[in-house]
Amino acid sequence: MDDLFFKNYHYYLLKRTFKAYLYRRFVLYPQIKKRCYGKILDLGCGIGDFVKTTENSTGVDINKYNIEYCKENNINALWYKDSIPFKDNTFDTVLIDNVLEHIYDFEKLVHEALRVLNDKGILIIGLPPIKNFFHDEDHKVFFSRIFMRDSFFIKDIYLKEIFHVPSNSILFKYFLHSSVWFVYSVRRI
Amino acid sequence: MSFFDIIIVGTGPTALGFLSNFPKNLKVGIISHRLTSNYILDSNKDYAYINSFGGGLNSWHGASSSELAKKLNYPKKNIHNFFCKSYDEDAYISDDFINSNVVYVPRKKIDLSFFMAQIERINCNIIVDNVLSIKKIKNTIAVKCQFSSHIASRVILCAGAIGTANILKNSNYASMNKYIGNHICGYAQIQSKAYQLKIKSLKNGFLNPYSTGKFSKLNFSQFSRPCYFDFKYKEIISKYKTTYSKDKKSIYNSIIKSFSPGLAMEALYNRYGFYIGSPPVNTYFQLETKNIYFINKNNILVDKKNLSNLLKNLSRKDDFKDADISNVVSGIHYFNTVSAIDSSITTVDNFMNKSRKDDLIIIGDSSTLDSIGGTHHTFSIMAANNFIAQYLYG
Repeated sequence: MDDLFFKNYHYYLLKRTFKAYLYRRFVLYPQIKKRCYGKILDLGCGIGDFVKTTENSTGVDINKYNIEYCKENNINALWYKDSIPFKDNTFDTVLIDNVLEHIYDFEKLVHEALRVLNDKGILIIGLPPIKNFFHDEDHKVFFSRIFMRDSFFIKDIYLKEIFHVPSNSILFKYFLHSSVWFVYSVRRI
Repeated sequence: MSFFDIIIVGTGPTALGFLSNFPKNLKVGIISHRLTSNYILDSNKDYAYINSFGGGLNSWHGASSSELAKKLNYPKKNIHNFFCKSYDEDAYISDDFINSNVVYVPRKKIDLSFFMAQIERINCNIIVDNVLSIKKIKNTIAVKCQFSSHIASRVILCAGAIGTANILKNSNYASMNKYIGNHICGYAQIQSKAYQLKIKSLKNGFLNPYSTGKFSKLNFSQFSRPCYFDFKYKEIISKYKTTYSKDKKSIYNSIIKSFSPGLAMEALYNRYGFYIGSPPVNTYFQLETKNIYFINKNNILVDKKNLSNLLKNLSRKDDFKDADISNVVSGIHYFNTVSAIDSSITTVDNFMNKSRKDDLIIIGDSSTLDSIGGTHHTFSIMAANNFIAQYLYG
């Protein structure tokens, strides 16, 4: 990916509306925090919204512009390219918030997340609903539920819970296209 | 590397014909190409995503259709206001020609929300990538894309005539020269109110009179919306090979189960010649010519000048006086382009005739048909694909 793309994408993230900010701050993040524990890694932290509002958390992102922005705003975030700059079994929770749909080699990223997770760790993955998939032109892969249910065919994790934001109610689930979140537990054999 | 039961290459109407009849328990991957690598990320623009995805996906989103409808002054509530054109067609017909002369074929209206529901129903992964080639490895097919690769038990190619042809060429299944058949046609759309009146006066209300003739030593056929759902005049329909089901009941069932209400209306419209608030009947003529095509670097290109001249001459003829150059050309129609291919690949025609259930690669596209029932062949292929899906996995 070229530098211009990262720059554009950074400014694209900054342009998110106030409504979107309120949604993330007061609706989405509380739901995620309920499921988190211990040391948290936000993989693909973007402009650091989650890290900023969560204690004991660290962000990593592939986009240098995002990391520069985070550092300017005193948000704990690091830049990485190929591998996450942490040792094995470092974190209790890894959050992958709307990242997987941006990359083709998503399995590599999930394996990398599992590397830094400890044996009792939790992996939380958020994905856009089908309707929102078309709203960002950098989206590359739309994941079906059956695919996520089978845990990417990775044996080390199993699906523990699926939840919808803002609500698990049928209305949001099927009619208003709420975002889908998958919570996995580590099961190393 | 991802594993799927089925990979569908392409997201146009033909691909959706398959999707709408797949059962839930399959792992399905659908691959759509990306139109451009230039990222125009601007949240202020509502249409920032217009050039982002392949033709089919754009159409699903409704972006292309509404923009084109606006540009071409098509009525938005028209039942035929769905547009779908492939990127490949754009590439091979030069831009200025499209902008000035081409009125896109208004194909079937496909309800976006309906197909989104299909995607959710059958648990389908969407991968936005450019398919380069396919390769058989034992009992599976490896699909090599520009940025990723996948493995599937069965691959269905619905990438359009040229897209499919290019994939097959890259996969060494045939040489490009074989793709140029004898029946590559240019076709045109003429809206004629007089013709509509003539049709309405027919006693049986049948809307499918057609005529053939010669023009400048070229064969042409003229017809109005040849239909898939008419059973009374099978001889005429079979001439265009548009029937793909054995009995009435299964066809009606497939309509009810898989398609939108618009399809049922279409069937009524074709059968009984009425549709409340219907637009003027479109009549089409199909001209068989190879002159408007040439091969350049293994690609099929359209000779813009020849095509323009041909249509200008045509509009002088009395029968085609409505055929004005500014609104006559509705697109370029390729068919029989992939007929001479590896015997291990099943085309829609082969499948329907010989029921080759074990074949791993199916070409579910109009490019494989020897002859086609008119410009609405996409619709026929959709229905045929739907039938195949039902046969394979039903």
